[in-house]
Amino acid sequence: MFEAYAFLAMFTVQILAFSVLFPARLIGYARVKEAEFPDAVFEKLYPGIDRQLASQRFWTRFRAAHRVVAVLGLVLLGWMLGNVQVLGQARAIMFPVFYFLLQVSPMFFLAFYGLRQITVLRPSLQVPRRTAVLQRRGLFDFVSPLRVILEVSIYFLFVAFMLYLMYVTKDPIPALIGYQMLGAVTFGFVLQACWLYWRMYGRKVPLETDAERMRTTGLQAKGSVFGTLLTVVLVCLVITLPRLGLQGWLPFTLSTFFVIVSLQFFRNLNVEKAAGPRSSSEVLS
Amino acid sequence: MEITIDIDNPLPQFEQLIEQIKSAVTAGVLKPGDSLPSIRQLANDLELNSKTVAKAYQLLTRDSVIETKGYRGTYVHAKAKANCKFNLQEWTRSLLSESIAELREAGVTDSEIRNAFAGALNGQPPEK
Repeated sequence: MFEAYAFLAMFTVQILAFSVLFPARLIGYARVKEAEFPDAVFEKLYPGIDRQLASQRFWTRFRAAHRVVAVLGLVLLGWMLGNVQVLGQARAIMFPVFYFLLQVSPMFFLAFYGLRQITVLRPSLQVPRRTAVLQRRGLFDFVSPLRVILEVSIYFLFVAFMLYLMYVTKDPIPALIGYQMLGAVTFGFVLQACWLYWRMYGRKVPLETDAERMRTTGLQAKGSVFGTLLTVVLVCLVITLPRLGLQGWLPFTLSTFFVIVSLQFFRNLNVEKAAGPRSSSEVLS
Repeated sequence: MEITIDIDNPLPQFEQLIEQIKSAVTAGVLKPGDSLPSIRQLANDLELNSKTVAKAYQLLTRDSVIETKGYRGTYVHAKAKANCKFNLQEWTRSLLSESIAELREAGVTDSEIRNAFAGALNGQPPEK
């Protein structure tokens, strides 16, 4: 029963971290970034629209979506407190997973909205004077070689561990499941590599300065390396815990993972480290 | 070091790139052995076609201002500063001017020179 109560405590932290603290920090960060967006450019792009009102309406809806998710989380928490025996079952791992998917759903909406804006805005924000830093960018400008070596080593260790579990151990896991897990983790690593490549060498986000780009790419690179390492550790724990007779700790493990992910996002949204404001003349010259 | 491309400038974009890289080398901002961004990186940063940047790099390589070391990337040439001073266009123009002056002295008309020059440039054999 101890693991069930540990999970409930961690689930409360999960609700607080991703549905209360993170949105508040994100909105604060977005407002600072919004203030940097020149009024003249906004008026050119959206003539006749009250900027303050539009922004306020958008963020109110975003905050409301997170509040609804937080309330749903509290309802779920209350239900689980009344039915603690359910947490001992194998399907209990679904609670933190599905709830986390619910927690990130407003973020998907935000990402979709942001990408749509970038796609629409890009042609309108063609700047006549374009600048670039005449310096070659490389992965090691953002992440230390040690971290990269660690990540590659972790991947190969994971592959070796999965092969061991599939073919060497006395109680092997089915090869199909093993290869599915290997495929999922490999896909995650490839996706991360593509994302980093795009951030380092792809087209700039409209109105993003070189300094901002370097800063955000650095944060994303470090964050994604940390994220993939954490994911590999999680997958290993998900496979290992039931084999050690500790299946009851799986919900707690997953919930802890989601809390760490939330805190990582939270840490990256540091308003003070964001680049300073830009003038409208710089954009509309 | 920052590089700026002005799309309203009548000077072609690849020439703007060449000029700025050459002036950075001459001013000592770029030193021999310094690495330069890849064509893709610079093209994306400046929102230019990669062929424009490739052309600038190709002409700078021809003038021995920069050199490409395979997959390791592009670097400033060891004798870049000296090579920047050499103006290939001016040298070509002076050679041609000398030849044209000789031909005029020999009584060849301008239209004949023009036709012969165009033929030679297109690789046509001289008329017998």
